[in-house]
Amino acid sequence: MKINLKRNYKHYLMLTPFFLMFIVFFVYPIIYGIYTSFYKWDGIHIPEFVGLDNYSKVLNARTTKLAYKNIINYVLITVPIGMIVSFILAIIIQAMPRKWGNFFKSAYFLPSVIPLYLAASVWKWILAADVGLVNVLFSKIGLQQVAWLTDPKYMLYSLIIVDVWVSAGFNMIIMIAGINDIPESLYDAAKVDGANKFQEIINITIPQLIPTLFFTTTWGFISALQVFEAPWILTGSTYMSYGGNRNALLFPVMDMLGKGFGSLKFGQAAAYGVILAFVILFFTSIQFLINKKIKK
Amino acid sequence: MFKNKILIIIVVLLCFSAVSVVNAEETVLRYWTFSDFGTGDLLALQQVFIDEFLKDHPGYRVEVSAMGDDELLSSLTTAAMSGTMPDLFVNTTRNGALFVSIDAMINIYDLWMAKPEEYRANFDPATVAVMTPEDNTMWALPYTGFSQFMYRNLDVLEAAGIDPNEEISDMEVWADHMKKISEAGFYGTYSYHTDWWNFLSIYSSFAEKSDWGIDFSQNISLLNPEKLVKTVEFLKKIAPYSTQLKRGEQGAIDLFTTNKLAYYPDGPWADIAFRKVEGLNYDFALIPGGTSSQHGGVGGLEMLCVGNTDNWEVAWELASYLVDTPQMARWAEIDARYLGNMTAMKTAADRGDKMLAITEKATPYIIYNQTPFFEKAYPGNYYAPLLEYLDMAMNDEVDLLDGAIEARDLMTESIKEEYE
Repeated sequence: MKINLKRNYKHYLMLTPFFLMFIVFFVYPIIYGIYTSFYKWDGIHIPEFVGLDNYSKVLNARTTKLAYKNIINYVLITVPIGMIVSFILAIIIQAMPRKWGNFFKSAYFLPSVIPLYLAASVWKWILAADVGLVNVLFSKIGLQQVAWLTDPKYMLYSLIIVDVWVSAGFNMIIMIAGINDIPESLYDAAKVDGANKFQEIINITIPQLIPTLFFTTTWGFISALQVFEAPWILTGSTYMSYGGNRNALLFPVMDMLGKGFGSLKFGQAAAYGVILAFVILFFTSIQFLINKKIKK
Repeated sequence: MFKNKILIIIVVLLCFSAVSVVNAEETVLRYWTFSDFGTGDLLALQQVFIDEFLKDHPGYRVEVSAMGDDELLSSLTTAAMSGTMPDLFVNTTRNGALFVSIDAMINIYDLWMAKPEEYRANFDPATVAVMTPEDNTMWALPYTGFSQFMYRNLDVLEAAGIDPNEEISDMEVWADHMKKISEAGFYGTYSYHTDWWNFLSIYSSFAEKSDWGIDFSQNISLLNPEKLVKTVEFLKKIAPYSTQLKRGEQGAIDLFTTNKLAYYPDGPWADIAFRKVEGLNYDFALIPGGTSSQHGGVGGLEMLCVGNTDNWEVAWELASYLVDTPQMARWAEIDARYLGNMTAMKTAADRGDKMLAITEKATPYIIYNQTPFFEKAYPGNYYAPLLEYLDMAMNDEVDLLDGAIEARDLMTESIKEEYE
């Protein structure tokens, strides 16, 4: 592919505003972040070059290990559950009469457009001890109350509930679009062969939906690895104390923010960010490799 | 038609240039404060003060921005980084060292000393001393503060057969009261072990002022493991009588305002919500102590800082006007909390304000939230080992004393990591 500047300069000129914005707001912060990660910097005084010291401090910190342990647990549970719930919703809605399908499509999509901090605040009330809706219902039916937001055994699952509630609608819409693209002739052929609905889903819908599932899974992984607002609000975190009881909801972005604004170690915060970017890159590459193998 | 269009464009351009001329003559002073100070009645009152000040200072305009604690802290940090500090800002002294480290405010010592003696004499010498951590250095004007006490729901106490006039002599008696309250079908109090601030409310009942904070000369945590164990033993005792909700959570506030929770230790800000609830029968009492001569409670101070900006001279004038006696006396009429201006606070005390009276009573016993104030910033997530220990201790997963020593050592380790 040859770039013919002379002939296409007008087109490139029209793209210039985007590229300028892209450089200023995307490329420059990345480069500056990497640069900062090699300096000891409080944001005000002249930065002092410290080589890889920030990386060493971040990697050896107790909180980093905890944050990564938590994020791995979280990602491994929330992404598959999120995908399964979205897929089931997509299948059910697809099978509904158009009018009802549209209604439920909108209803399930609604949480995706609610600001995350608002959704988390609502769930904080719902899951609250003693007076929260869930615990009140538990009491009414004779079940023991659960400290959803303070018992480390349940805190991760509370977050997963919020996350799935928020993201399922978005993934469901993408999956419905993917299902709509599957040629009807494949289902007709399956019917002729005597396949039931379940067999159609297993043998036609899922294989045909792999590109869509790959996109939603990859997107889910990237979002989950950057989880921040919901656990921050659910645990009532502040810059001085975050992560909730026993740090059960301490995640890398929270720790990074705490290091930056809580103790003004922007060099370490930047190193944290670079490490996190590589982790995301690593997981995404694995997913691409798996996808490539499946395609083959 | 074309002429008309040209004429319209010229008129519009002239309007814009006129606006910019007006704006060019007006210097904007930016004033950032906490949301409870910058909204409602307190904002309206401050606006009156500002208008009064501007009468003598034409050519200035004051823009007040109100923010939550964390938002204000991060906004001030980023403003300092980008050289766009507000001219005036309010914050808590526990962030003092952080602000000093980023040159957020100016040293007002000379300006303060240039004020007449009769002006300076209005202020609490102890608070002035806090704002003046070393010779010739004063970082802020004394503004407001709090000494924690507890709100008591009198209807709940009555229903549980507890006489509110009978003084709670110590924590044992308090625990017995809570047992009675629980047996009557109510909650004694909220949960203290999931938040360092709430924990300090109770720890302060057993500990001395020297048992809390950081000694930066040796980079060690001052947490006292034995006192920590006593606190945990008490928290375990009252756990069956408490709600699992913590201070400030809407659920805990609702339990108190709907007559389901008896004791709610907090600062004066909680009263804003409580006094709006019609029929809520409550009063104030000191948090009991480990012994009859002791009491508990967290204390804190808010300061008014002059930002490190080109407008510092006029900002100082405005700041010193805002904390002056006539203004603070009017403040005290609608918000009876501790004031750095003692003369103004006395006017509220003289009219028999009950909340101010309890604040004054609590002051000798409280432990300040995060001392020392202007020396060095605390490490990030400093309290994590303490909170982890508290949760393990509450669930019998750790030997109380060994765990307390380990928590203290981990906190010390985080200080050493930061500063050595």
